[in-house]
Amino acid sequence: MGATIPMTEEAILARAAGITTGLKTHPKEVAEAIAASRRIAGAFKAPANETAEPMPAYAAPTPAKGSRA
Amino acid sequence: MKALHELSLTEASAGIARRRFSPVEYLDALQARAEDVGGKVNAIVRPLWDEARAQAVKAGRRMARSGPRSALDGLPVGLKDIIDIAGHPTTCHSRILLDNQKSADAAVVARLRAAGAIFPAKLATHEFAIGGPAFDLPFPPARNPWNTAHHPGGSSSGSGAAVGANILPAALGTDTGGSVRHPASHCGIVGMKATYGLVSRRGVFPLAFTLDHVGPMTRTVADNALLLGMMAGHDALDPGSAAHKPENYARQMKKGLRGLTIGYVRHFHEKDQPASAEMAAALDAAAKLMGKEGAKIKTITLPSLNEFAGVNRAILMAEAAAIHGKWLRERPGDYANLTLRRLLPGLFMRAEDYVQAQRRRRELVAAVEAAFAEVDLLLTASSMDVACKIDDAEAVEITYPRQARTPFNVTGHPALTMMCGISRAEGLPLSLQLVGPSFGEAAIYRAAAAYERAAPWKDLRPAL
Repeated sequence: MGATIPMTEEAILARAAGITTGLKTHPKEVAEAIAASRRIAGAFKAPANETAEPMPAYAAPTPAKGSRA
Repeated sequence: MKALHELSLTEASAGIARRRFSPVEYLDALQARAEDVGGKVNAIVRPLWDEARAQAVKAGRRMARSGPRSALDGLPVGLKDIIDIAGHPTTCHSRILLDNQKSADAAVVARLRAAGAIFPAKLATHEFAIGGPAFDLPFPPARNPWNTAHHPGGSSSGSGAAVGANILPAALGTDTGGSVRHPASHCGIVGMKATYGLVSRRGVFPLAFTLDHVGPMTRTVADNALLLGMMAGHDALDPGSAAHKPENYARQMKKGLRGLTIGYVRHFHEKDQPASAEMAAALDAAAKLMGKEGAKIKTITLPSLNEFAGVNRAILMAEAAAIHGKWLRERPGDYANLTLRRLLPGLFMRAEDYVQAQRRRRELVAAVEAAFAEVDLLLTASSMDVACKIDDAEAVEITYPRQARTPFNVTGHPALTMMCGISRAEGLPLSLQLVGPSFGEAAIYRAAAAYERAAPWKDLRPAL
């Protein structure tokens, strides 16, 4: 067994996101995107209440015309 | 006396009704205008003048026979090229969709067509309504009619440029993070993002499902109200469509400002994203004029603009990634580099981040709703700066957070932008934004029309 080359964090994240072509052709943009996604996620406060419901709330479908229900 | 191409929709409608000119003569004047100045602003990506001319001939005959179908009968409306029209491709200004031929009209186009409107052009957009002014796409970017070295705003860039340049009296844009109101602000016209769900999105290429709106862009408030009235209405085939009856949005327009309380959201442009001195002064002057015209002006505090922007971006990125994921993974090089950089972060957003953004969204909606318990409308900045140079990539990038439009995509409240001055330094439009409670479009138009009458900007047009 030969030694494996350690992957960068960017490469691991890109592969996990299914980005293989982009990792080869646009590595700079992929690295920027990872940094941007972290900035975006940190740009607002999560609600303090852990049970807060997200928007929009799920709504059950209205029974269709002719429904047997 | 105005030339035909300078007429507003309302003026053109009256001129046709009085038989001063025909729909064909009006359309021909617009085509001549497009041939004269179109190459300077690059607003049109697909001209449809011949098809529109045939529609104008039919409209003229129909009107002679049985009168107009509506105030829009025989009048032209441009379409951002992410909105479907039967028989033509919807390219989204992208090489990925150059052959994306459509066989049916978008629901909003079908409504306008039924009212007699005609469609002479598909208009430039930032690629997929997100990219930005890019020079590595099949079509050139639209340019600002006030100074063609400058950005017209986006993503409905061609709609703003065409209406601002008097090539068309009206156009449709779409708005997910401000994309109707940004070009309206920079091109000195009126742009409305109505309440979420008021206008059907069916047949419009999505950017982010829970933030997308289709909106009218015109040179006057009256035209905007007229066009929205023809566009609005429930669509059972659009899952986000609101069960709200269309209204006559112009019904309050002569009432003036007396009796309205307007909440002035100063902290957006004074603290959260400090505006240029000229923009801040123009907003203060607009508030003062509205007060003089009879409105009660009250300072209102909302959550930070940057919180709204963060939530908008997290939701937009995640939803757009679900749409673009396959292309981003398989053919990233087919996007403009700017579009690729805008869309790629969405593939790295965690599911938890998206849900947290949707939870915070509910709190932000509640905060804006609470404000509407105290005031009838909100007055805010739209852009913090005038339009930057179109080829200054760094300045274009800075534009995106320096605006106060995204809050009302997050909340879904209706919001209109219009001109409130001209920059002395650069000769470019300054702008304001009026925001109303859900389905409060008529009150927004009332205040906007009163401001338009009182302020001296209405007849200022770019000298192309």
